[in-house]
Amino acid sequence: MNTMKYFLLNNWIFISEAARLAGRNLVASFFWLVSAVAGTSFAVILMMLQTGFKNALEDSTTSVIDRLDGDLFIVSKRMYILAIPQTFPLRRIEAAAGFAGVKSAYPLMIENRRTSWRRSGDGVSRRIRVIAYPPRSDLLDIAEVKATRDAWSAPETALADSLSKPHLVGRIHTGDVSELSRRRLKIVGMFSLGTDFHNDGTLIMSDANLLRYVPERAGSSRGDDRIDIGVIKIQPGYRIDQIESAIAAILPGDVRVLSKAEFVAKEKRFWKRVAPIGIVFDIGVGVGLIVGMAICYQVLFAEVSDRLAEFATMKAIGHTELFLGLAVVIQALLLAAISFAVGLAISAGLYRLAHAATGLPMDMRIGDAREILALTIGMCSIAGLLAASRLKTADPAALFK
Amino acid sequence: MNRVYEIAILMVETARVAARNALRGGARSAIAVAAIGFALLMVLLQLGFLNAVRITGTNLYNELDFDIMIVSPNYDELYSPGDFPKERLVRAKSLASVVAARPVFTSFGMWRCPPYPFDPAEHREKPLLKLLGLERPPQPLQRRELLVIGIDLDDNPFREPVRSRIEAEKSKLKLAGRVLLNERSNPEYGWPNRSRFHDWELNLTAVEVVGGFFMLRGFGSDGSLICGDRDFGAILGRDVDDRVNLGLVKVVPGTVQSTIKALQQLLPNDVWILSREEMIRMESAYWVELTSTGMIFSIGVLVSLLVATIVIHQIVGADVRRRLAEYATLRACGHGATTNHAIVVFQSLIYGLAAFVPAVAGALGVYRLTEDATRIPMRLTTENLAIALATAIAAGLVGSILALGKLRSADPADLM
Amino acid sequence: MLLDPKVQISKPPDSFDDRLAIDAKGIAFSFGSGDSRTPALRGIDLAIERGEIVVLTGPSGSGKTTFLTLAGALRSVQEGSLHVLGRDLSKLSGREQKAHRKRIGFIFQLHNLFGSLKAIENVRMAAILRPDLEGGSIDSRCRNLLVELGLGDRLNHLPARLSGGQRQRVAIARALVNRPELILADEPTASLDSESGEIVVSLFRKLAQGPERTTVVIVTHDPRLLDRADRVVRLVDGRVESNTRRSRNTVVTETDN
Ligand SMILES: Nc1ncnc2c1ncn2[C@@H]1O[C@H](COP(=O)(O)OP(=O)(O)OP(=O)(O)O)[C@@H](O)[C@H]1O
Ligand SMILES: [Mg+2]
Repeated sequence: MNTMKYFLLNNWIFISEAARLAGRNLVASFFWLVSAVAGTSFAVILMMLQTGFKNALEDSTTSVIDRLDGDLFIVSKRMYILAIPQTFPLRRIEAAAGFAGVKSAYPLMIENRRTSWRRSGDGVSRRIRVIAYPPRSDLLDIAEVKATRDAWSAPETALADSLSKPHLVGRIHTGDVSELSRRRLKIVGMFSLGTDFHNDGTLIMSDANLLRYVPERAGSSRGDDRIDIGVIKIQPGYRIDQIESAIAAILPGDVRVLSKAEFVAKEKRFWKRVAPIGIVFDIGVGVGLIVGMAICYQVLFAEVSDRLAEFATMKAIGHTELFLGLAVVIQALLLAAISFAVGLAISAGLYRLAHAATGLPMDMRIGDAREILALTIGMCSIAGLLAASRLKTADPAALFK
Repeated sequence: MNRVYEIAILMVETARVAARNALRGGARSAIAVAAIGFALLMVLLQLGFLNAVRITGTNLYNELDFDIMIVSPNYDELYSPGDFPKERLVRAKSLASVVAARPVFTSFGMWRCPPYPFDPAEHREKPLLKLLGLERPPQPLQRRELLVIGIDLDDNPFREPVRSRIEAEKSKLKLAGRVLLNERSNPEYGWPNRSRFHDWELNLTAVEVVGGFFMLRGFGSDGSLICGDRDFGAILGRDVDDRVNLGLVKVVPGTVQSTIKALQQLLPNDVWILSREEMIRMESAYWVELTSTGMIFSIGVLVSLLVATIVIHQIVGADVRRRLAEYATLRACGHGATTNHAIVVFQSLIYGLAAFVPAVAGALGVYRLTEDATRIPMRLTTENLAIALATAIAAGLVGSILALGKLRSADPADLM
Repeated sequence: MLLDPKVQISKPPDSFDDRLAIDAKGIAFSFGSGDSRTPALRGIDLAIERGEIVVLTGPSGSGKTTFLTLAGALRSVQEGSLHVLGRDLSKLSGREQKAHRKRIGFIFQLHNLFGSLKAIENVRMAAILRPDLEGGSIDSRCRNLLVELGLGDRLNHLPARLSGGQRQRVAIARALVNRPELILADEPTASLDSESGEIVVSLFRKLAQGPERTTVVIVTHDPRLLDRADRVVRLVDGRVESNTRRSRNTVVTETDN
């Protein structure tokens, strides 16, 4: 018991002493600290930014689906991603609406090929996405959109996304009157949804309205109108999966029924499989990590080299390499902590800038921040261990001259 | 003459010192070169991504043979070009300086893709890709969108080598429902299984793949095919005799500007007339500056340049600072500041070049990996090489000269 | 010369003697191998008693430093036998060497203090190796020693804010704080003025005559130290040229300088 206590006390002294040495060495040279933190924190920023872009890519593809207020969704059998239009006749939804347990079934249209918005300033027309549905259905769960329902129910009116890219679709404000596909359109309100990799701006209007602008969507009868998504809400007390399979059983083979989770998963799966651009950002993170490790190693190696005689003296008086290595690694960890904090702060600013410039969702996720913190600590401690191996070359015999 | 000789001697001498510093630096030099190399690799990678965005805007136009392009004023970008009356091309041909005025039709179409793996029995795993989680998952038969390019088969608008590929299959293509598939399309479109799969469909019309051509893929579409204008009209429901998407004009050499002026007078203002350079510049600018993809990779390039600059600046600066005493001694021996500056200039050159070579080699490897995994075209351009090299040298120079500045401000007594 | 050159020490005892701090027999040591082999020591026989203050002199390159590194177990013996503080150095493992070194205080010509640590913290770095030593807490041991070396008002200074001599005294404090049984010093007073040098030597003397009977081996050319030594050993070309013992009772007074 006593020896145990003695052992702990003994080691506690060494650990605290190593930490003190590490801390003092860290701040000993202001220049060293600034350049070490600059190099390491920029590696952190690079990793954060790449992760942010990756999330933006993933999140933006499902931003509309995420906001759809429904339990089940009818989509065309051919639809493989929402951004590429695949329509089916409205009749399919009407068939589903009569089901026991179905509270409501509404059509939603997304048009992004045939609609172009005339910029008010220079009159140039740019493609814009239009989401259309019956205003009273409140299909999109966005507060501004629900609140202005009456205003955009009127013909030739729409809401505009304030996050649309100004340099493509122009700056749009409430009250603007311009043309959508050569027909008059008045903007009666704003909302915020954001862009994605296919769409640079978004308008919301009533389904009846969209048929005026894109008459090609109208069928010979109302049941033939071409729509993109049927949004179904289920009455409380019914099981979603049961109704899902019941509806799927009666609907013809040109459509399929998806729950929200399935819909989101389908979209994400496609991007992951076919256009794995996310990998580009993973590679970016990887390279950032290696650069960070290299710079960290370089600064710590220089640090150890500069103090090699001091470390050798410590060896001469009986300190172990482990103790000295501990000091180097603690210094690396302190460097990691400071660099992460600095990198996090700067990245937060950059995220905001990127969000403003692209309209893409750029959110710092706690999980990602934690992951990057772990990577930073890992990268610095490996660099620290490598630099500490330099201590082996500290020869106390060479100190006597 | 004497002065020149002196300078030459000084140059050789300082270069020798710099080389010796770098070579004898041992582990430190090696680490410095490695760190700079990784920083440059990172820059090259981000530049490669951005270049892939640029390729998106130029992949088709680079293959097309034209001096002047006529498009609709509603032209956004290649994948949303708008259209204009075909009659404008007929009128353009009436100009003496116009050699040819050819229509090109573009549209998205739905392509029926074969399943993957086509034959499960033959399926072979790729261990490396599997390890990285990049292996292609199985995929049933499905329809996917691709870019359809319609041309007048008797008036081929393509340059070599696509031109010959079309000419070779011309007689087949003239039969209804025959297309050429881009070999570089996403493999999901079925090029690898062209000999075994026969149930191709474009927009619900059965077609046959009679050959391939080679065009880089971009972020705009994952695949592309070429067909005759008759097929284009029939399958996609477009009146190819009435309206066209792109008008490609060839002129007598040296008459581009004058022809543009003449065309502007000749044609009504329902068309835009652009030179080849303007067209390609505009299209790249659209993809690089206006799309989210372009912006994101531009930010990536900027940040990576910044990181690399800091890293290199820091490393070369630290190296010079380490030898500050030697530089101080040189000055004490009566050498001017020029000698020291010349040494650090040479030294950053040596470091920059020494790091550059492995960085380029590494970048080529990472490009390969990226292209295999993401199917984004990764090309190393001379322009990007120059940017990376210039970054290495400039950042190293600034770093070392700033460090030398410290020498000037240092009190010689501090060296005691 | 203040030393008595006549008092020669007799042949060193043939067998190991516990009263001896260092017992060297036929020590030879060469650097390098093959063609570049340079002999530094060519057969050193030397016995140093506990509590002795020995000055090692000789021309540059004569092997003084090499001998110190061997005695301090910083290098391994190649030829001959070397007993230090009762241990046969040729039989020590690397780990035992390290443990052995804790009994020795090293003073190098360059102070090698951590520039980032205050004077007292630099001493602490050594003091923590022997937390069990008597004489108060680690901190008070460090403080007392620095005060004794005339640095009472410089405890919390960084080395950059100390003079060369003050830095050297901090380094000496670091070597002495664990009350080593043997002190090996290479040119320790080169950067000290006579007053500080005096303080250091008096401290050595006090340790040598104290209950621990610390042995001190100093390599120096400093004539001020020669007359404070119990013995002066002169090396030439890797051999002991002379080994002169001053009589113990001749105590040099302050005015004797
Ligand atoms: N690390 C080494 N490698 C090779 N030879 C060495 C080394 N250290 C010392 N020597 C050689 O060994 C011999 C003895 O050197 P040593 O350092 O012991 O001399 P010294 O007596 O301490 O000299 P000084 O008074 O100049 O310090 C010299 O000839 C020297 O050149
Ligand atoms: Mg010596």
